[in-house]
Amino acid sequence: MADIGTRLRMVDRVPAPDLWRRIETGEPRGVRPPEPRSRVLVALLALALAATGVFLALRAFVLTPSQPAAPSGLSGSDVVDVPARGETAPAFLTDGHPVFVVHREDGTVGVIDAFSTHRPWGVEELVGWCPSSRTFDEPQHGAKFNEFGQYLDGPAAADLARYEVDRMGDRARVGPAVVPTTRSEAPRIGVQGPLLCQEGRAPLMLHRIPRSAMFDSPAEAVQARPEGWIGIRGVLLVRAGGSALLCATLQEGSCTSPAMVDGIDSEAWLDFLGESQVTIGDQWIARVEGERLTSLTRTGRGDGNPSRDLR
Amino acid sequence: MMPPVRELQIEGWHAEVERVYREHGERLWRALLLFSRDRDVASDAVAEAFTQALARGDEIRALPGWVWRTAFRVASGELKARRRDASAAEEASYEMPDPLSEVMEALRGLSPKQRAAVVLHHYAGYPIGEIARIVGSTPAAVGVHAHRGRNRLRKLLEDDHG
Repeated sequence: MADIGTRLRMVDRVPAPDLWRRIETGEPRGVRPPEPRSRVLVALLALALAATGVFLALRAFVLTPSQPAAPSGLSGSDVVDVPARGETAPAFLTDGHPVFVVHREDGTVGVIDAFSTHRPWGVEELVGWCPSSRTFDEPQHGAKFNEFGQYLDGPAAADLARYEVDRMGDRARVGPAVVPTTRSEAPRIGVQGPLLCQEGRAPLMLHRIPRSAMFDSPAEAVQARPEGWIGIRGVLLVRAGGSALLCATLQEGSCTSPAMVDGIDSEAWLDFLGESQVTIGDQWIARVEGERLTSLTRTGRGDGNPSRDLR
Repeated sequence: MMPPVRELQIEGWHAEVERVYREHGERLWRALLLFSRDRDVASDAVAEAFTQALARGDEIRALPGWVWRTAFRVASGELKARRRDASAAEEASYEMPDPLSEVMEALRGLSPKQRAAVVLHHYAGYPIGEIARIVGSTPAAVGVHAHRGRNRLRKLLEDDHG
């Protein structure tokens, strides 16, 4: 028997009607067309601002804050704001995928993937933007890339992925990713150690995961089954003979509220280190698939140092 | 003299929606036909989705995904309403080629969620994660529906030959 797809594709023989005329002249059942902008919009905006001001004042002094809503995944947009010329800003694409928007001095705009191409044993890492050197730096292991995402230094396998960009004034539509498989330059001696960004006028710019996207525990995160990327604080536990786990806490060998993690090359890692166990505590982002976490990624904010926060 | 900016924006959006319609419209209509087994439901859903898109202006991000989601939501709603109204006849079109009407008949044996998952995956070629976004569910649930739906569809089609 022909496969399901082939059987279903027989529907392609059915001539489809051209509905465009009907679409153009139709009235939507579900939504009112937008009011003319300008005056109405300005009035509404003013009203909204005033209302927000009143609400915030009330909240601060009068109302008790209500129970925060349960966290949901990161979200963002495929249309990003372009920062001022010479500036770079972090952003999240539609499913919460972190990227940087780079507005170079020559006026060109690039959207660069925030995931380092250094993925030790399957653990992913986000890079930060170092304003003083105009490079993307990986805080954990010092991989460095220039403002075009091209490899400069450190233990990374390839240039950073970059996205097609359709500039629309002070915003830009982000298209498909171009994922390089090689590095632009010859490898240099691997640079190990802590943060390399010479802080200068500003610290390393890292993505800030909003509170609303942070789950309290890995177990809670997989139970919620959110779409897209999510944030969790926890300890990655890699043991011989066992699957990798992300624990809310790991105390005296006791792993609390864990979730299983896919994609970690536990055997090779432990073998390399000659250890029976590895633990890494950090703030992570990940995706939830079924009952497991995948694409586990270090955000670089593991020590929670407030001087690293983006303001 | 240049038309005012607002009109240019509408014109730009209008062209964008039409471009997406030309690119996706037929496939979407056929996917909805498989899903609802009804030409009118498919046409209504496609028309409603694109008409809404035109009306909303460029506040929509990622238009193709939005249109697929909206169209499937409209079609689901329509099917639910018809099930409630028991007197509505459920007739698949008699104009379809025979092997296709066999598939359409077999699709009746799947639940709406299974049908949506199977059609979006095996006909439209969407990955599970994307289907979850279209039908407003989780990848895990969609995976289950796709799996069970496919097995059920296979069994129903085999039995026909049996």
